[in-house]
Amino acid sequence: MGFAVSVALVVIGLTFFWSSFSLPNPQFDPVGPSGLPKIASFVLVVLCLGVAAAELSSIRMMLRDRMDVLPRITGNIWPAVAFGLTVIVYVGALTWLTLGFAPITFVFLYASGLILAPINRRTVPGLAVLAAVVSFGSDYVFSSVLTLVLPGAG
Amino acid sequence: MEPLLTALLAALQINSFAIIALGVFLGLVVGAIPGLGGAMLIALLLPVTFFMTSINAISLLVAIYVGSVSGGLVSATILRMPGTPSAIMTILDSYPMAVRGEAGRALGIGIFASFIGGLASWFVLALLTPPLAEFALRFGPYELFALVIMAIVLISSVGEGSFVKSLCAAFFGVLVAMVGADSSTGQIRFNFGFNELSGGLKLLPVLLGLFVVSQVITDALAMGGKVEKFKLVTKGLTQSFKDVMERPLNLARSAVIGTWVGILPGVGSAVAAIASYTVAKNTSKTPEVYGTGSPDGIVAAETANNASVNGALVPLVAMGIPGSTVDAILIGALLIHNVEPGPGFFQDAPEIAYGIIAVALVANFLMLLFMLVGVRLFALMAVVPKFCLLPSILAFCGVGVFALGQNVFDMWVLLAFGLIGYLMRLGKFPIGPFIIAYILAPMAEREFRSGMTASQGDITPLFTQPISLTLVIVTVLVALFPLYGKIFGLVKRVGAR
Repeated sequence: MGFAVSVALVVIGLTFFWSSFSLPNPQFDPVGPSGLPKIASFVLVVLCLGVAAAELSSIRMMLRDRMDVLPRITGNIWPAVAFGLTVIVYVGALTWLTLGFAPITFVFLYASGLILAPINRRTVPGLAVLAAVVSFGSDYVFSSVLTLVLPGAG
Repeated sequence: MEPLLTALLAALQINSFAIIALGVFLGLVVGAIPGLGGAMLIALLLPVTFFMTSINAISLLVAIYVGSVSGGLVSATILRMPGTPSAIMTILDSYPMAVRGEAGRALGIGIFASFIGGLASWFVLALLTPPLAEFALRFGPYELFALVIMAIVLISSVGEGSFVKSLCAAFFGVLVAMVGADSSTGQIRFNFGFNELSGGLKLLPVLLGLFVVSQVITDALAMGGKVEKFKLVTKGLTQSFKDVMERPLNLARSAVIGTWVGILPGVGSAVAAIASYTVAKNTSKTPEVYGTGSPDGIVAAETANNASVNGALVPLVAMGIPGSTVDAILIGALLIHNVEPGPGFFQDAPEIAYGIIAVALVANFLMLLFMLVGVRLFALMAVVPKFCLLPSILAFCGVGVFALGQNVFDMWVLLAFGLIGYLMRLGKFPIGPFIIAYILAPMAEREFRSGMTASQGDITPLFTQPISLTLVIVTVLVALFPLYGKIFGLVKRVGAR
């Protein structure tokens, strides 16, 4: 994963480096708005290339020793993926739906709880109560007490 | 001394005192829960502080910081899991004591050692910070620029993980900070066609994403749905004060190490605990008892990790340089409240600068009180199942970032940085240098450009003025530090041949 992240950072660094040339030349000070970004992105690219090379070399050694080079994500991979998708749907619902913060949050909390928790006679109703308290309680505190505008309210 | 006394009296006013007490309590709770830490809670509560005065907001956050470092002791002792990274060395001796039926004594030793460590380092904070800030007032643009660069390099050098990866993370942080309008000319930079990015990436979604959302992803993957069971015997809790006081040398040495490690920018309380424990073990006449349930081990680790908290506040209050990642978030909190910490902090906002020092002391006393009275409650919190916490934490993050700008785009930024933070953790790119560079980069750019303007494009003053030259030399030495071991190894091998 170190290799993949360093390559991604090289791409990001190059994007910033390239974009900094489209910024206007210095007018009011000798450095201008593009000075520091150019230096920082150049250094980032050089450093990340070094990291990528080192990671690649260690991957080669691992392959030579017939070791597994893919990162091991141990634990509850599928519940975690399902939880991640639920989070994306939740943020999407808050962005595009106008059902109100509390109902959307209740559904998110209950669904996430069911995905992550061991399902049994205690957790199913317990999670519903917890989701209701947190969603409607926080809606009341944030919108009525702290007078905040909450997402999902349209 | 008068402003400090005034700040202390203000901290003891009922409102301020209640806020500090709440902060310490929340810090202890979150510190006791493995996986959640002070940094996470401080980032999470930033939106709540919008409704507070600057001094109350920073009081709450500093109190959480003090509490969270101490709370890690509880789960370390009863569950053999460090509630916070700073409790990593405490486990080695507190858990074996708990297994022997001496959990109360182990917790008591940890609590009193934490208190004494915090108290000793507070005197350093109170006495050293004002003169250091006065000295820092002499700093011009080049000195401030060199100071920021030194802090970033130091953080990358001595922090967790590889030095080069830390530097990569730091430069990535610098670039992310460059997104949005240039503060000098108003020129929009790197918005990549998104109008929402023209104002820059807001601090809160970036912080919450990197610290909280990435931690939630990590925890969700690591979760087994199992609820830990434990039996806590608190017998011997208060009597352990004698145990601690019987070790004055260990206490003093650990307090000095903790404070000093805390002062070094970017080095957290975990490193302080490791350094102190290692020194205590290596200088002990009976090193073999360390790791088997030795009170000396708990004293060394807990004194140092709490001492590092106040030590880390020294560069923050004196120069606006974060002593740790949590301090970087505190600087972010101050910036959100339009208070810019730096050499002029004592002059521009004395009530906040002295307030931070006062709160650190009051919070330390409250930590002692709460831990002695409520250790059973914190132990219960340590076993709250994560499936109850993680979804709620994410919902609060969403509310927090939306509240800042009433913009749903920030919620997507939050998720994006959560994923970035998770991938960085997976690739072993530390998040601390990213955050610190992200917060300090605008200051570095401003000072560098200001210095270059003053010297009409001549960079040589950076290397000729005594203070900036010293800082540049220290930066170079620190940057070369990881090479020393390799060079010595090479010299040894050549000599052996």
